[in-house]
Amino acid sequence: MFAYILRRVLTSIPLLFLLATLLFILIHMVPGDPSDLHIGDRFSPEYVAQIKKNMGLDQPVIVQYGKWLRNVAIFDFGESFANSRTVSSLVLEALPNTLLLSGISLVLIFGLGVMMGVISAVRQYHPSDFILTLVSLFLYSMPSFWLALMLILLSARFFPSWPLSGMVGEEVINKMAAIQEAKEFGEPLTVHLSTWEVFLDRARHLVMPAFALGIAGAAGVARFTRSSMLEIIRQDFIRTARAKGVSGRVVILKHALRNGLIPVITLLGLYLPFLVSGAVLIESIFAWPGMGRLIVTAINQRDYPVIMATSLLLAFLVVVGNLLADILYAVVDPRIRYD
Amino acid sequence: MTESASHSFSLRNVPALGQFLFGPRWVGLGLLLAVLVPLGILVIEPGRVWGALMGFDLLAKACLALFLLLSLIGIFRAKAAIYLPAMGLAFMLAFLLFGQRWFSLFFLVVSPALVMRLARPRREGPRHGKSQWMLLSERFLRSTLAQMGLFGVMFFYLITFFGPFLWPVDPLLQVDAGNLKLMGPGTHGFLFGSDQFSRDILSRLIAGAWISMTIGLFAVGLSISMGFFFGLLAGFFGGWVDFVVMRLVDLLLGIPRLVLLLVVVAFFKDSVPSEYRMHLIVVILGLTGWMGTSRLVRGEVLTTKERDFVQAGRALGFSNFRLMFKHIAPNCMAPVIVSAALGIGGTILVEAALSFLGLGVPPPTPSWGSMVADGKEYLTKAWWISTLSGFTIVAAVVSFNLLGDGIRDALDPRLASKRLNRKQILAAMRRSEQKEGLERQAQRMGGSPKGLQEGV
Repeated sequence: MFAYILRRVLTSIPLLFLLATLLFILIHMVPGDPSDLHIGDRFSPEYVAQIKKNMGLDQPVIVQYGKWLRNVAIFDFGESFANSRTVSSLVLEALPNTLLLSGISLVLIFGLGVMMGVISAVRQYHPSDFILTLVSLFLYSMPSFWLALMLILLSARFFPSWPLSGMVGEEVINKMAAIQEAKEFGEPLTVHLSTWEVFLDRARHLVMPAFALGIAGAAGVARFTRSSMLEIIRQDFIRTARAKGVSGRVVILKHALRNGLIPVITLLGLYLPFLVSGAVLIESIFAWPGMGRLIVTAINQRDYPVIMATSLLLAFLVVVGNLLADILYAVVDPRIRYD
Repeated sequence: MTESASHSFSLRNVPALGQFLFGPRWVGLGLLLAVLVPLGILVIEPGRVWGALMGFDLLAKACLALFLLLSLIGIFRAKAAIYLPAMGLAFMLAFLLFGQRWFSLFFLVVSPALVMRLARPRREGPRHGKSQWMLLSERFLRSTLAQMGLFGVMFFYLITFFGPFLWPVDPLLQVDAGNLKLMGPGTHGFLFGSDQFSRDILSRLIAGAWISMTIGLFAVGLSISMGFFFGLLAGFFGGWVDFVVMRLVDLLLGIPRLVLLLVVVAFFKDSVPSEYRMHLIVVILGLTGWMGTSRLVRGEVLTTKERDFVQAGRALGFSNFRLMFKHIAPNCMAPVIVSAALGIGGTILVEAALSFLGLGVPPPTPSWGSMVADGKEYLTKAWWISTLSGFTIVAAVVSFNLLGDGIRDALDPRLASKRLNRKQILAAMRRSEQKEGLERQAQRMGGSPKGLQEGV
């Protein structure tokens, strides 16, 4: 087992190196470069040349590649072209927000998905199975951005006060500003902002994006769980357990679910990159200041360093996720042995 | 049923109508539509049809496409397994040559064959046994949901092809250009309402079907062909070929797809003329989607390779090429077909997402994703723009997913989750009782039950 993990980790290193190279080639194959944004009548050729020099774009590609690779190795992703901040700080600012959003929807995906899958597998042919299967089919076939818009539409009609975009409500922002001001000027605090208030505000903002992001995935997991559970339920050991007189609940939750979850657990590893990238559309719609929005703005602004860094991070997560899926598979299923 | 009865006229034997009346009902409905819609158009507007035919110069091009298809099949000289990629290639060529009109070629070349195959009257009486494909289609048609999926897919392709004859007004026409008011569904002749430029939503939805259906079919055709080929190669040869292909797959799977799509489309769209934007999207979606299929096919090939008939072929001195394409490939098709049907649904969703972000086919052309994005600004004032476009996407994707699920269940009868109603259960019990009865009778008489059945 340990040897297997070690071997897999070692083989992923050249994979990551190749991925980095591929990304670099891809980005540099693109016609035009970021200095194009400065081309026009307003800018002299000297100015453009200077900009290119500042960005390091005047050097041969191979030199740029070498420099980039060296910097990546020490986790230095350079400065953003667009707003002259370091890429790492941009990413570190956006990452926690995204992790919060997609972490919660990941819980939704697996919690709700497994529950729906188990119910419809246990009640096969029952009307509730039919309804659940149909509902999950629809949710699974639904574009997440459309679901988000529909949620906005419904809440605008029925809950007009519900926050529709951003991460922090106006009230909280005002209070924070007031507190900040009071601190700066050494005045006594007149407004009070409790942790509970901040938490509640954040939670209210989270509900809709997390739901829109997670529900399609939950439907997918439900379909997956259902078929895996159906296969298990028909096996002999389940019948044996029933024949022994084990109660129905225990048979399902202990005998069947434990085995039925094995393929589902491997999905967890594959969802790792989703934690960071899954929210590109949802974050744009709900104006959530996370990685998805960072990526989309970077693409629109041709911000090479940011694009490269975020794609590399995602690629890294994909590789790690695959590795994790394989290892988890071996851990939860003792029948599988790697040597 | 006796010989003479099958010759007498029966509604059951009328193509399309017979199926509609006696089941499979949904498929019959689809076939009926496929016959009635073009007939209706022909009756109502013969002039436009004639004009369109002349304008497209269809016949010459259809012949060319048929020739392409046949020659491709001829080159590979292989059986069913190669039809899929060969057809993919032929249609790709047709698409490149004729752009938007490829669909008419598709219908002229393939649909008569398809309709004849599906509309063949049910044969009565004893048969010599059933082929695998017949068993598959029987199991497929047993499920109402699968039938509905097939119907949905037929419906959307019909709309795609006959779109120009079906939309009430030109999808690009600003009906009330002077007074750009958002009209609700059912008002002022707008059945589905109007958008912010006073264009008819229904017409735009019909016209937009073309984008989604075409991109879905071609991108998946490309990715399936590539995945099939590479998977076959890796699985069959093993060794270093396997190593190289599978490491390539690992590598490409490591690239985050949506981000790659965003980057490539956003960066290349200015250097590609707008009428070829769709080709760009097709190629990128196709090139980034084949890895899953190739893993699937490789696994399938690895087990098929060890089966006796392949060993026998090897002993007979068949070439690798022949073994691969003629003997192994047809037996690895099942998962490919399923992943193709499910893949089209997924691709439609990805295309819609790209269009939603404004990276799809450029603006005046309607596409479902960009229509949802159009309605975003007017969500509270005109709910119908986004809502109805989104429902169309959902309907199309659900159809393809139902079709894929249906095929998967039909391929793997173990997983088939068909709920039998009381009548069906009783019928099944009666059948098995009869069979048991026959067997018992046969045992008593010392003959085989099979011979007895044939004698009855």
